[in-house]
This record gives sequence, C-alpha cells and structure tokens, in this order.
Amino acid sequence: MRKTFGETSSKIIVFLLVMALAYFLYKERLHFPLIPPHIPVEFKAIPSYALWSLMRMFSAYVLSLLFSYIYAFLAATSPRREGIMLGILDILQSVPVLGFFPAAVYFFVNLFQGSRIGVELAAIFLIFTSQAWNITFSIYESIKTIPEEIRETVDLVGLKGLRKFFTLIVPSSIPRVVYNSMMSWAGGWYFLIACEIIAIGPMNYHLPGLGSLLQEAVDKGRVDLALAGIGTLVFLVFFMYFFVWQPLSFWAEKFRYEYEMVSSTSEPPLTYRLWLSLGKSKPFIAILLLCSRLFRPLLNIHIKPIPLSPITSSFLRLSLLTIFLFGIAFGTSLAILSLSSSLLHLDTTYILKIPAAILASTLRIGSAYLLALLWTLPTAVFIASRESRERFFLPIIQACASLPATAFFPFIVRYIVSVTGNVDLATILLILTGSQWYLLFNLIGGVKAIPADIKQVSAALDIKGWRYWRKILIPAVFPALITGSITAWGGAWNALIVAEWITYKGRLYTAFGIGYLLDYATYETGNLALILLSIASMSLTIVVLNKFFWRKMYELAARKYKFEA
Amino acid sequence: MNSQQESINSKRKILEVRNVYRTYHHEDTNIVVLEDISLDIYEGEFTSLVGPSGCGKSTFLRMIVGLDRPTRGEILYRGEEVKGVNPKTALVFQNFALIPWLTVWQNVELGLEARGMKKEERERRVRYWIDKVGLDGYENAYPRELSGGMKQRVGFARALALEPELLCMDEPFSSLDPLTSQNLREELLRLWGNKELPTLSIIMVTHSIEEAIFMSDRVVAMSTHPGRIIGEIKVNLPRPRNPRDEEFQEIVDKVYSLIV
Repeated sequence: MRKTFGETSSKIIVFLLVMALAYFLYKERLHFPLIPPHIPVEFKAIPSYALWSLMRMFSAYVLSLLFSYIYAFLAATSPRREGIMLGILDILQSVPVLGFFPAAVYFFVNLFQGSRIGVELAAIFLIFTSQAWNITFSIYESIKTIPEEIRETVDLVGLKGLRKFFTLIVPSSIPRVVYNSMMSWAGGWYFLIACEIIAIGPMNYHLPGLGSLLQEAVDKGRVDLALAGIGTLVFLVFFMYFFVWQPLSFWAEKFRYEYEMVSSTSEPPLTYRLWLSLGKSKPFIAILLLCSRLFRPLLNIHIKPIPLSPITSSFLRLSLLTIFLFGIAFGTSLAILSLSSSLLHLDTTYILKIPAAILASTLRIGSAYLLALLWTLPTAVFIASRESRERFFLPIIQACASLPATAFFPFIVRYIVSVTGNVDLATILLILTGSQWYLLFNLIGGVKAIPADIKQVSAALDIKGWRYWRKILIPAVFPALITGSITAWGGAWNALIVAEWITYKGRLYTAFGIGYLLDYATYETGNLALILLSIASMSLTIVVLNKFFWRKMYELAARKYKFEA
Repeated sequence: MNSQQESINSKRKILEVRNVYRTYHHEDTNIVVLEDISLDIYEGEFTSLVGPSGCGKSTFLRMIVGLDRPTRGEILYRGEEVKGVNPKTALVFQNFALIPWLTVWQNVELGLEARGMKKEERERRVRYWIDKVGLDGYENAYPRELSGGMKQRVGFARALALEPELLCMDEPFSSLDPLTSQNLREELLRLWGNKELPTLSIIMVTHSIEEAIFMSDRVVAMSTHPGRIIGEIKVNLPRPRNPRDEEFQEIVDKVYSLIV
C-alpha cells in the first residue's frame, strides 16, 4: 500500500517537473534575430560539413555517457532514489523527443542571445536526448546484475569510491554500453540529419553539416551533390561500424561474467587485430602510460562526508526539500498561468481534431508496420537459418541499419510526392525506414534462439512448409516479435513528427495525423496549450497502447511461447 | 604438531558470537533465518559449520566478515563489535568470485592497492601467494582460461594475500569435481599444518559432513528453519585423516545423529 502511494506521488512529482520544464522552455519567444550563416552548397565544402556533423554527434555522445553513468549509478545504489529516478527515465523515454525540439531551440537560442552557439547546443541537446536513455538503462541494468559474490569480494577487499567505480562498475557495464552505443549512434544520426535545418515559424537557421547539405542540395535540384553527401554519410557510418563498433563489440566480450558467456568463440574481426597491433606500438603505449600516471592519483581521492550533527543535517535536508518543492510550485503555477492565457486563444476545432488525428496516425503506423513485417520475417528466417549466411549478412545489415533514414527523406519526397502527388505513400515509407530495423534484428535473434532439438524433432516428424511456419516458427519467434514490435512502434511515433510535415522546395506537404497537429501547433500557432495537448495526447496513446496491448502480448509470449532455459 | 599448536593458543578467543538473530522481511512476514546463535572461535582452531542448505550458515559467515549485520545480538572480534567489513578477515567463495577482465595476478592484487600498500611490497606478496597456491606460470591468464580447480586456487591466493587472521570459507570445494577438491583440501591442510598461513583460525561452511570432519578440529552442526546450532563435536583425530577409518566413521555417525 505504502509502495503504491510512493509510486503515484513520484509520478505526480515527475509530471509537475515536466510541466515546469515545458513552461520554461516555451516561456519566451525569440528575442534575438537569427542571422543564418551562409551555407555554400558545393563539393569542396563536404569534408568540413562531415566534420561538423561528426563533432555534434561526438559531443552529444560524450554528454550521454557522462549523464548515463552518473544517473544510473545514483539510481542503482539507493533504493530510495531508485523508484523515482527510474520513473523519470521511463517518461523521458516514452515522450517523442522530436516534439520537444522547437522548445529546446527557443531555450538555447534565447540563452545565448541568438548566436550560433545556441543553435548548436540545441542540436546537440536533441541528439543527446535520442542517445542517452537506452545507455542509462543499460548501465543501470549492468550494475544491478553484478553477481552478488563479486560485489561482496570488492567490498571485502576494501575497494571504495572512484577505485570501486573504475574496477567494478565501469568494466561490468562495458558489454551492454558498447551494444547500446551502437544503437544510440544510429538513432543519433537520424536526428542529426533532421535537426541541422531549423525552421520554426519565421525562424530559419541552417547549421553547416551533412544534413543541411542534403536538404539544400535536393531543394536546389543538385542530385549530384546530394548523392555525394549521401556517399559521405554512408562512408562515415560504415567506417564507424567496421572500425569502431565491430572491434569494440569483440573486445567488450572480455567483460562478460561467466554465467552470461556465449559458448561459441567467434573469430576476432580484422579491424580488431588492426587496433591490437596499433595498441602494441611504442608511441601508443607511451601515451597510455602517461595517461595512467596522470590519472592514478585520482583513484585515491575519497570524498569523506562532512560530519554534521543530526539537527544540522535534518535542517539542511528540510531546507533543500523546501526549496525544491517551492521551485516546483513556482514553475507549475507559472505554467498554469501561461497555459490559461493560451487556453483563452484556444481553437476548439483543433482539439476536436485530435482523436481523428491519432486514429489516422495509428493506421499509418499500422500499415508501415505490416509492410515491415512482410519483408523482415522471411528475411530473418533466411538469414538466421544458416550460420554462414548470418556471418555474411549480419554485419552488412547492421551497417545499413545505422544509416539514418532521414537522409533519404529529401529523395523520397522528391521522387514520390512530387511525382505521384500522394503524401500518404511517402509518409508510410518514411515511417517504415524509421522502424523496420528493430523488427529485423529482434526476429533474427528469435529465429536463432529456436533450440536445435525442436528443429530436429520437426524434421523427424516431417513438418515442413506452411505447417512448419504455423506450428513451430511463428510461435517460436513470437516473444522476439513482440519485443521488436514494441521498439519498432516507438521508432515509428518519432518518425511521425518528421514524416507528416514535409517542406520541400518551399512548399509544404502534409498528411493529417497527430504528428501534423503537433507540427502545426509549434510552427504555425506557437500556442503552449496546443503544443502540450498534442504531445500529451500522443504520449498517452503510446502509453495506453504499451500498457494494454503490447504488455499483454508480452505476458502472453512469456507465458506460453517461451522455451525453457 | 597440531595438538601442540592447540595447547599454546587455544585459550585466546578471536571471535565471540552472542545470541545472534537474523530476520528478513518478506511480504509483511518476518522470516527468521538465524535464531539465537552463540559461538566462540579460538586462535589456532579450524571450525566447520555443517547443516542442510537453507540453514543460514552462509548468512552467518557474511555477518562474521562484516558484509551483513545481525538483527539482534552481537558479534565481537577480539572484544570489539564488528561494524562493517572487518579487514582482519577474508572470505573464499563457492563460485570463486573472480573478476573476469582481470588476470590472475590482478585478481590476487585487487585488495592490496586499495589498502595503500607500496608497489614493491605488493608485488612481493602477490608473487609469494601465487607460488604458494601453485599458480606459477598462470599470472597473466584470465579466469575463463582456467579450470575450476585453478580458479579456486586464485580465490585462495586472493584471500590469503590479505593475510587475514581469520579465514572464512563458504563451501569452497562444492563447485569442484571430487578429485580436484580432494587435492585442494589436502594442500590447504598442509599449509595450515606447516604454519605457512598467516592465518590464526579458519571457519568453513559446508554441507558435507565428511569434509567437515576430514578438515576441522571442531564441527558445529546447524538445523534449518530457523537456523540454530544444535550441537558440536570435537575431532581429535591426527592428520592426515582417513575417511575409511573406524574412528572417523564413528564421528560421522555422531554428527548425522545430531542433524537427523
């Protein structure tokens, strides 16, 4: 009973916090004129644009890592903090990130008085929000699953503070963090491309980068340049995959505990051996030694708690709590004030459109999902049924999946919308590109997990063809299908915001749906109540679908279609 | 030799456990894991705790080293109450608890650096214990490259490198195959008998009565639900002991009759 009360109260606090935050983000319109930098669209600018884009990605990634380690560590080490911190994370994860982008732009641009730094920070912030949460969850999970005996050993031998953090916590998290970083980089590229061109109402600001180059090039009809841009992007993504993520993933296996070891020891990838020989070279070792010498004294730092009398400490705690609650109350009341003023200008016809918009968007996602299922299931079965195929295709598919779908948006729009005049088809395609990979990877995992004896039994009983699919295969991959579907739908909701509102060559193409309404509210009206209402109804739909549909399916999958370990 | 050692040291108490209770809360009910445990451990003594699984013997061991605290009662180490990890103790785990990304050497060295030991001293000590437990040549191997027996040798080396006065072992041989575990038992007893260990006393938790009698000077039997001490039996047989001896078997029968 007390627990549920704590949970609800923490949810209420989180909600109020989000409200207050939203208020501060939207509070002020832009006070400063934005002077867009001149973005030359030409071949020789491509390398510098690529560097700018990489720089943004890298900064956001470093921020994500820092945030994730601190947040996850704080959440995992105190049961008192755990509930509320996980609740906040859950909400952050299920809110469609792109919906907050205009707000972030207003905030940062105002903060830096209209200079480019503000826009850069807004872009980095957006990429950060697309990268951080899954990494945070993975670190939290890693800390929680450290075997009890290992935890006790480390306590017993007296490792504390930073030394414990770097000998136990960080290494334990490496396998999950590497895997999720790969995912996060893919997600980050997606948003990077989307956010390098910022057009909100009167504001139009281009950040130099591959994303803005692509859109400009297609806008101006420079197909050659657009192809060069895409080529550069493909190169970058593939380079990152084969030279960073693949060797890192191999290396990360070293940090697994034995109970989670995979039995087959795969060959180290070529690039791993490359790094290894580089790591053995003299200058590299010298740098490493220097770093460790500089870094080592840090390990001996122990932050000792300042001894406080119980009265002082409870006084401190109480005053902190008061300030905190006061801040929340202040922010909330301001938010309510501004909300009520925007409610006065509320267009009721707009609100009435919301249910229809949600239905339209859901149907659109549904059809994109069916399309995705139609090609991913057979592909997954084809690839996963033989190890040689998997070894060959999996890296290629993984590299392809890291290609941001948003990079292809301008092309899709140009060649589908302007030729057929049908926005819906383009929208569905855009949603498809933003969600299909989650399905494919989970299905491959699912097919691979079918135990060998089940396959042998079905071969012995001569179960083949359609019967095999219906009796064995589909039930067997069902749990993986559900997990994949949940993430695919999550990706689809995010893609909606860029897919239902497309500007191309100065013309606006829209498809009616909740993404459209949200974009309309932000770009055309700027009405806080409408924006919040759209985000809230979208988030609510996601939560309701997750809770009452996907969760139930998941439970069914776990109960009925799971192989005993 | 052993009896000599006993007569010199047996008077000094190293650990005193007084009326210890340990309860857990689970869904509004209190589960009593340990009930009214009292036990004294003397210097020079090898004590075994035997009992069926679930009798709380591992919990008890964790309270002795300071990983857990009693709900009621007190545990005194040389007259002082144990609050938090006791640096004079070390624990050997059933499943070795080796850190997979550290080499054998680094695993053994783990606690020494944290204790502020100088590099030369650290190296000397790690080298010494790696030699003693027979891990020569495996310094740079990773735990996953080792067999179970070798892993537990690393576990012993890590515990002994801390040079504990009181060595605690939680089912240290249970995860090993019979041949390997017998080898390790004999080696440990040899080190203990030759006084090559820095350790004054050993407490071992086990569910094998034969193992307890084979190794220790005193066998403390526990019952389950809740965990209680139901009796203890001294083992005065000379080492090395032979489980097939009649006297050995008589003690086994005595302990069985206590537990069943």
